[in-house]
Amino acid sequence: MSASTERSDLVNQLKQVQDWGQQQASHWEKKQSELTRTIQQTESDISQLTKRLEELRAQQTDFEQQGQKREGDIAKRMRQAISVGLESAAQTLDTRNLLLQKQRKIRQNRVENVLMEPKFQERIAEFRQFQQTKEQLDQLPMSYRQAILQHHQTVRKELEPIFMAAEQPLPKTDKSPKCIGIIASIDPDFVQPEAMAVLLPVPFSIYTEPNSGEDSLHQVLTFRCVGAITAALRKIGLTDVSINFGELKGYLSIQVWLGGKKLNGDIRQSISLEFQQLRDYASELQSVRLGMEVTWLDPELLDDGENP
Amino acid sequence: MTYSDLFQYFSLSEAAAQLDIHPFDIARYLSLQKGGLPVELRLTPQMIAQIAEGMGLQNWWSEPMEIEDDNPKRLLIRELSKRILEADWSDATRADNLNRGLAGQEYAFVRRVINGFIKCQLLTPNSTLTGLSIQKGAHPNWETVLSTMVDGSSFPEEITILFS
Repeated sequence: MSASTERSDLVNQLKQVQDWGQQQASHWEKKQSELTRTIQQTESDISQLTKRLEELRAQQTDFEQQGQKREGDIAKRMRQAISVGLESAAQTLDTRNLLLQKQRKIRQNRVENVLMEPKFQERIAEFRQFQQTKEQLDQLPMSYRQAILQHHQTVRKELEPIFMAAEQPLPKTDKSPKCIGIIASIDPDFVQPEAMAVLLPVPFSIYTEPNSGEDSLHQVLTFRCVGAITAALRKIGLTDVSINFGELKGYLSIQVWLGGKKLNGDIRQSISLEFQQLRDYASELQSVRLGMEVTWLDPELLDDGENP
Repeated sequence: MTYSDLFQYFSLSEAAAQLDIHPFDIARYLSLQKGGLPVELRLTPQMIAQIAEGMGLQNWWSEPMEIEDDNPKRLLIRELSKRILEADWSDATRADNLNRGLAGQEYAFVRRVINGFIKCQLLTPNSTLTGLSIQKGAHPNWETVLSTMVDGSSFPEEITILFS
């Protein structure tokens, strides 16, 4: 190479820098272009995801609304089930009440058949005479009184078959057993209860209009439930609580105010045990093969559900 | 001879009517006795007598009224005051004892009067498992206030509004 074509080191150095600069520009231009494409792609993705997110949120809101509606529907259907259950129990009580009257009559007829037996007639007359005059016994001399009482004991002993027949438990029906539901409720919870209500499937008039005749099955059941609740409360140390009787849906509600009282036991268990005893021992219920079960429900289910 | 001639069994409702008490109160009382309610709810006269005694049933209006007053409501207030003043308050008594023996409007009115006496602290109510019981009230001038009501010379405001 001739000396005229030779380039100075200065030019060469500058040329190299110029070449490097062009390479760098090309490189960063390419990077910039890639980044722009990536940003555009990401913005597009975000737009699609945002749209998808909005769709999902709308779906979520819809599900929540459906969930709330479903809870409302469940509560509504529960209230309907309670009404149907109470009506059914009330009807069962009506039919089993007729049965109870029949069972009482069967026992009475058995006793009256024994009463009719000729061998007892003389002693029955003596027994009746004693019943009519026993209040005047005190006016008689001691020796007379003792003799009469001794004779009465003999008469009573001879009439023992009649008394045994009268004291027999009510005969059991051959109808199939039936079980009625009783609703109990604690407000607000079992840990620190403020109030308890027990709803019986009997008309409220049993409380407001007590009669003075033979007790119906409705009355027997009510008296026994009132007794069972009283005994259950005493067993957990609640001796000074106020028991009130109210009307709910036409039925009798036994309400106990517990606010601030100390409970020495589980109120649910205590009630359960007393009702179990009632079920197992009450002659009238056994006679007509009537059982019962207590179901504990949220107190909100016992209102009419119109106020959220 | 029929069944009922020989055997004197009474339903709980019949027993309650005889004793002039609500049948629920008998159920509550029996449930707290040894053995609880009988296996069959039929009661003999002896059982009914035991219930009456065990529950401490009293008839506060069995004696005829002695006070004379033109106003029948004021008369009942004065007679009740007299009975409260003369009662033995060493133990609480059933609230329904104070009404027992009355009926209809007189019964309802005396219930209102009892509530008035409670407001005036002449009587103190207590809830029990067998029903409401009543004790002597904590009024500082208990005897004086009741005495002035008995002679008709003065009545607390809460009572005056009941008959005026």
